[in-house]
Amino acid sequence: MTKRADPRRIVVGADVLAADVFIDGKARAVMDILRAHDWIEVAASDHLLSHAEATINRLGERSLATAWRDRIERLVVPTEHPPEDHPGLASAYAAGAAHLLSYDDRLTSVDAGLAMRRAMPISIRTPPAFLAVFDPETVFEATFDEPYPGPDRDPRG
Amino acid sequence: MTWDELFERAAAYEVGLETVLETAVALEGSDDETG
Repeated sequence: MTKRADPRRIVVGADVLAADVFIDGKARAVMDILRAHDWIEVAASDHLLSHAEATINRLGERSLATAWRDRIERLVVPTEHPPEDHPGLASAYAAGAAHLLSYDDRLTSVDAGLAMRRAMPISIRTPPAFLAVFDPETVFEATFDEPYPGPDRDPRG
Repeated sequence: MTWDELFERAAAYEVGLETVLETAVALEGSDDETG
Protein backbone atom coordinates (compact mmCIF):
# COMPACT_ATOMS: atom_id res chain seq x y z
CA MET A 1 0.00 0.00 0.00
CA THR A 2 1.41 3.39 -0.94
CA LYS A 3 1.42 6.46 1.26
CA ARG A 4 -0.74 9.42 0.19
CA ALA A 5 1.24 12.42 -1.13
CA ASP A 6 0.44 16.07 -0.52
CA PRO A 7 0.78 18.10 -3.77
CA ARG A 8 1.74 21.21 -1.76
CA ARG A 9 4.70 19.47 -0.14
CA ILE A 10 8.06 19.41 -1.92
CA VAL A 11 11.51 18.13 -1.02
CA VAL A 12 14.50 19.79 -2.63
CA GLY A 13 17.71 17.77 -2.88
CA ALA A 14 21.00 19.05 -1.51
CA ASP A 15 22.39 19.52 -5.03
CA VAL A 16 19.48 21.78 -6.00
CA LEU A 17 19.68 23.71 -2.72
CA ALA A 18 23.38 24.38 -3.29
CA ALA A 19 22.82 25.31 -6.94
CA ASP A 20 20.21 27.86 -5.80
CA VAL A 21 22.88 29.57 -3.70
CA PHE A 22 25.64 29.83 -6.32
CA ILE A 23 23.94 30.02 -9.70
CA ASP A 24 21.26 32.30 -11.10
CA GLY A 25 19.60 29.48 -13.03
CA LYS A 26 16.79 26.94 -13.02
CA ALA A 27 17.34 25.79 -9.42
CA ARG A 28 16.93 29.38 -8.23
CA ALA A 29 13.89 29.86 -10.45
CA VAL A 30 12.27 26.84 -8.77
CA MET A 31 13.24 27.97 -5.29
CA ASP A 32 11.85 31.44 -6.01
CA ILE A 33 8.46 29.84 -6.72
CA LEU A 34 8.63 27.86 -3.48
CA ARG A 35 9.81 30.86 -1.46
CA ALA A 36 7.08 33.05 -2.95
CA HIS A 37 4.17 30.89 -1.71
CA ASP A 38 3.49 30.47 1.98
CA TRP A 39 1.18 27.49 1.36
CA ILE A 40 3.88 25.46 -0.41
CA GLU A 41 5.75 23.41 2.15
CA VAL A 42 9.44 22.68 1.59
CA ALA A 43 10.24 19.65 3.72
CA ALA A 44 13.75 18.59 4.70
CA SER A 45 15.54 16.51 7.30
CA ASP A 46 18.56 17.69 9.25
CA HIS A 47 20.64 15.20 7.23
CA LEU A 48 19.52 16.73 3.94
CA LEU A 49 20.22 20.29 5.12
CA SER A 50 23.62 19.25 6.49
CA HIS A 51 24.56 17.73 3.14
CA ALA A 52 23.66 20.97 1.35
CA GLU A 53 25.43 23.02 4.02
CA ALA A 54 28.58 20.90 3.61
CA THR A 55 28.46 21.48 -0.16
CA ILE A 56 28.08 25.26 0.28
CA ASN A 57 30.90 25.25 2.84
CA ARG A 58 33.21 23.36 0.47
CA LEU A 59 32.47 25.63 -2.51
CA GLY A 60 32.28 28.90 -0.60
CA GLU A 61 33.14 29.42 3.03
CA ARG A 62 31.87 28.60 6.50
CA SER A 63 30.15 31.95 7.12
CA LEU A 64 28.23 31.64 3.84
CA ALA A 65 27.11 28.10 4.72
CA THR A 66 26.06 29.24 8.19
CA ALA A 67 24.09 32.18 6.79
CA TRP A 68 22.38 29.83 4.34
CA ARG A 69 21.49 27.37 7.10
CA ASP A 70 19.93 30.19 9.11
CA ARG A 71 17.78 31.26 6.15
CA ILE A 72 16.75 27.80 4.98
CA GLU A 73 15.70 26.67 8.46
CA ARG A 74 13.17 29.50 8.49
CA LEU A 75 11.69 28.14 5.25
CA VAL A 76 11.54 24.38 5.70
CA VAL A 77 9.22 22.04 7.54
CA PRO A 78 11.51 19.63 9.42
CA THR A 79 11.25 15.88 8.89
CA GLU A 80 13.08 12.98 10.47
CA HIS A 81 14.43 9.68 9.18
CA PRO A 82 17.13 7.16 10.08
CA PRO A 83 20.64 8.48 9.30
CA GLU A 84 21.42 5.59 6.94
CA ASP A 85 18.53 6.47 4.60
CA HIS A 86 18.91 8.61 1.48
CA PRO A 87 18.18 12.17 2.76
CA GLY A 88 16.09 13.27 -0.23
CA LEU A 89 14.01 10.13 -0.62
CA ALA A 90 13.57 9.59 3.11
CA SER A 91 12.59 13.24 3.65
CA ALA A 92 10.02 12.94 0.86
CA TYR A 93 8.61 9.73 2.28
CA ALA A 94 8.48 11.08 5.86
CA ALA A 95 6.82 14.30 4.71
CA GLY A 96 4.40 12.67 2.32
CA ALA A 97 5.77 14.98 -0.39
CA ALA A 98 4.46 14.80 -3.95
CA HIS A 99 7.71 16.09 -5.48
CA LEU A 100 11.42 15.53 -5.04
CA LEU A 101 13.74 17.84 -6.95
CA SER A 102 17.20 16.61 -7.82
CA TYR A 103 19.82 16.74 -10.54
CA ASP A 104 20.92 13.20 -9.64
CA ASP A 105 20.17 10.96 -12.61
CA ARG A 106 20.26 7.95 -10.30
CA LEU A 107 16.96 9.34 -8.96
CA THR A 108 15.47 11.08 -11.99
CA SER A 109 15.85 8.22 -14.51
CA VAL A 110 12.69 6.52 -15.76
CA ASP A 111 13.65 3.20 -14.14
CA ALA A 112 14.34 4.84 -10.79
CA GLY A 113 11.08 6.76 -10.97
CA LEU A 114 9.07 3.62 -11.61
CA ALA A 115 10.76 1.80 -8.75
CA MET A 116 10.13 4.72 -6.36
CA ARG A 117 6.49 5.05 -7.28
CA ARG A 118 5.90 1.46 -6.21
CA ALA A 119 6.74 2.59 -2.69
CA MET A 120 5.28 6.11 -2.74
CA PRO A 121 3.40 8.31 -5.23
CA ILE A 122 6.17 10.80 -5.92
CA SER A 123 7.48 12.59 -8.96
CA ILE A 124 11.25 13.06 -9.08
CA ARG A 125 12.34 15.78 -11.47
CA THR A 126 15.23 18.06 -12.27
CA PRO A 127 14.55 21.78 -11.77
CA PRO A 128 14.03 22.41 -15.54
CA ALA A 129 11.55 19.51 -15.75
CA PHE A 130 9.72 20.69 -12.63
CA LEU A 131 9.47 24.25 -14.01
CA ALA A 132 7.89 22.84 -17.17
CA VAL A 133 5.03 21.11 -15.32
CA PHE A 134 4.48 22.80 -11.95
CA ASP A 135 1.88 25.57 -11.93
CA PRO A 136 1.17 27.13 -8.50
CA GLU A 137 -2.22 28.39 -9.69
CA THR A 138 -3.39 24.90 -10.66
CA VAL A 139 -2.15 23.31 -7.43
CA PHE A 140 -3.65 26.08 -5.27
CA GLU A 141 -7.08 25.94 -6.87
CA ALA A 142 -7.18 22.12 -6.77
CA THR A 143 -6.14 22.11 -3.11
CA PHE A 144 -8.12 25.00 -1.64
CA ASP A 145 -11.03 25.26 -4.09
CA GLU A 146 -10.51 29.04 -4.19
CA PRO A 147 -9.14 31.42 -6.85
CA TYR A 148 -5.35 31.63 -6.84
CA PRO A 149 -4.35 34.85 -5.03
CA GLY A 150 -0.86 34.99 -6.51
CA PRO A 151 2.47 34.91 -4.67
CA ASP A 152 2.15 35.85 -1.01
CA ARG A 153 5.80 36.17 0.03
CA ASP A 154 8.92 37.99 -1.14
CA PRO A 155 11.09 35.16 -2.54
CA ARG A 156 14.31 37.11 -2.00
CA GLY A 157 13.56 38.78 1.32
CA MET B 1 20.71 38.43 5.69
CA THR B 2 18.19 38.34 2.84
CA TRP B 3 18.26 35.72 0.10
CA ASP B 4 19.42 38.38 -2.35
CA GLU B 5 22.30 39.35 -0.08
CA LEU B 6 23.25 35.70 0.29
CA PHE B 7 23.20 35.18 -3.49
CA GLU B 8 25.33 38.28 -3.98
CA ARG B 9 27.96 36.91 -1.60
CA ALA B 10 27.87 33.46 -3.21
CA ALA B 11 28.26 34.90 -6.74
CA ALA B 12 31.76 36.06 -5.83
CA TYR B 13 32.90 32.41 -5.84
CA GLU B 14 31.96 32.01 -9.52
CA VAL B 15 30.90 28.39 -9.06
CA GLY B 16 29.29 26.57 -12.00
CA LEU B 17 26.51 24.00 -11.95
CA GLU B 18 28.78 21.07 -12.82
CA THR B 19 31.05 21.88 -9.88
CA VAL B 20 28.07 22.12 -7.53
CA LEU B 21 26.76 18.73 -8.64
CA GLU B 22 30.16 17.02 -8.44
CA THR B 23 30.75 18.42 -4.98
CA ALA B 24 27.31 17.41 -3.76
CA VAL B 25 27.88 13.83 -4.95
CA ALA B 26 31.35 13.75 -3.38
CA LEU B 27 29.95 14.88 -0.04
CA GLU B 28 27.01 12.46 0.11
CA GLY B 29 26.68 11.14 3.63
CA SER B 30 29.17 13.63 5.04
CA ASP B 31 27.03 15.62 7.46
CA ASP B 32 30.14 16.28 9.54
CA GLU B 33 31.73 18.46 6.82
CA THR B 34 29.92 21.42 8.29
CA GLY B 35 32.07 21.52 11.40
